[in-house]
Amino acid sequence: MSEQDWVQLMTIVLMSVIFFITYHSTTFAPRHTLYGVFVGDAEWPTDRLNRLHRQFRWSLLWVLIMLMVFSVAATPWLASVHVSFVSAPLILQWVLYSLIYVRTHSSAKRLLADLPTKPTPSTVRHVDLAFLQWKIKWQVIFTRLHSLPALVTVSLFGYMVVHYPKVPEQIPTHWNGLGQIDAYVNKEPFFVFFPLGLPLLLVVLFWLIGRSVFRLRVTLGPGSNRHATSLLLALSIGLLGFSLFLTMFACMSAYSMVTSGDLPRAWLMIELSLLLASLVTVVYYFIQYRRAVNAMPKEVTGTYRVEDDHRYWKWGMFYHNPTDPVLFVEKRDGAGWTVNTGHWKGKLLLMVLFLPVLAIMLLIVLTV
Amino acid sequence: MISIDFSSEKPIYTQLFEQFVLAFARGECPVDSSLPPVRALAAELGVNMHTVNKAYHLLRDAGYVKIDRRHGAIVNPPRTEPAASGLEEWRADIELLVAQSYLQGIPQEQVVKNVIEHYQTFGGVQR
Repeated sequence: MSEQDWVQLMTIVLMSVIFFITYHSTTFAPRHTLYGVFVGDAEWPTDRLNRLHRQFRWSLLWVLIMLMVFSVAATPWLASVHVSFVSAPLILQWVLYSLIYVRTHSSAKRLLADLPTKPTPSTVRHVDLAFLQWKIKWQVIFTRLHSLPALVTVSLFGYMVVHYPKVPEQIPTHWNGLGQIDAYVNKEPFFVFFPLGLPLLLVVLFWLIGRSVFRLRVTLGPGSNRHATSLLLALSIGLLGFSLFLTMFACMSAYSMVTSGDLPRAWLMIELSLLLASLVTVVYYFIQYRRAVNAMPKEVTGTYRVEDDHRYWKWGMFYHNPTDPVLFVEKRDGAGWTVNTGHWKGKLLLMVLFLPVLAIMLLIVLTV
Repeated sequence: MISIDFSSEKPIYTQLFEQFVLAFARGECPVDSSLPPVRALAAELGVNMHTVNKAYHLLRDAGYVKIDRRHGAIVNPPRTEPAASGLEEWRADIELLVAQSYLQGIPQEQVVKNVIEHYQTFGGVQR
């Protein structure tokens, strides 16, 4: 087995562990939910609940074993068909695990339907006007801060368009860990503009997402906004940090292209620390937030959120609510947020994310 | 704090109107302060923007806020003397409330006591 095969196997196992932890454990799932179904304070029959957990664990284990065998056995054949087919087991894993989740979600739903006394979620939404004003204030501040990387990447792109003739005939496309150039290509518009265009697109996307962060309905309940505020700030800082990271990356590649020189070591250090700090901040506050949510007394069902209504969810995965003006909502199934497909921006975002993937897959199939 | 019951028969815009009236009277939204922008409040509640807009226009029609193109809805100071048009509506409202109290068997003293208590907590004493 080659080094690449081992990396793939490790990725499959790691993804399984992450999947298991997020979906199986109640630490990450929204309050009072199990496999995307609202449980509330209702008493669930222990035997059926255990059967549900067992069903989930066993399907996960079987799929994992099957995928590992498939990955080891089929990779040489897949590679002989087309080099990009090598990652097929990873895509298959994503699809199969989604199916397992949907199946467990449906079983949990059936279990809920059989309960003699149904859970009663809170139907009252409390809006803290002071907290809302706080969110609006920080939304404005972060929108302004995000315009800095956007401005820099746009100017950089414009600068390269104007100075394209001055770029040397050989341009660097890859650098090692120390920032030294280890691969060159002949100058072509694609190789010059792709490393600048991609960060530009992402920075603009983060600018738009950054605005929506402060629309997240993260209130824990009346009078407990402390963890919600830190989570919103952490997400915004993380997003801004990543945006600045991309901007610096674009600046460094442009610098290296024009001068044919290595990446400045100091810049590289700043960039890496920026990325690390953003990641640590987001993870730390996310865990703090989830802890605060789980530490709430069981009888406090919190404040009503429209996304807690199961009518707006399809397969416990997709949120579709055209009357909800919010773009991002907390997922039913575990860690993270998902887009509202009822919102035109949500549809656009999904298309922007999936169209390139579809286009690439189509191109590969056509060229095989 | 504004509380909206999503399972209530009462429309959300009416609930919003009433909750804001209570918040103004309690002094939770000071005079000349802005109400949250329509978009932000709609997002926070997870309702259509028109719903919030309707509530804000009801507040404006009742004279509790003025709607400014640049600053949004701004809280008006309480009237120093009642408007003739509002007085008629108020008479009808209080008649209904008193009628309900009578039918519910709430003693007259309690009705009067509660009215005075509320009026005083809303800053009626200072005027």
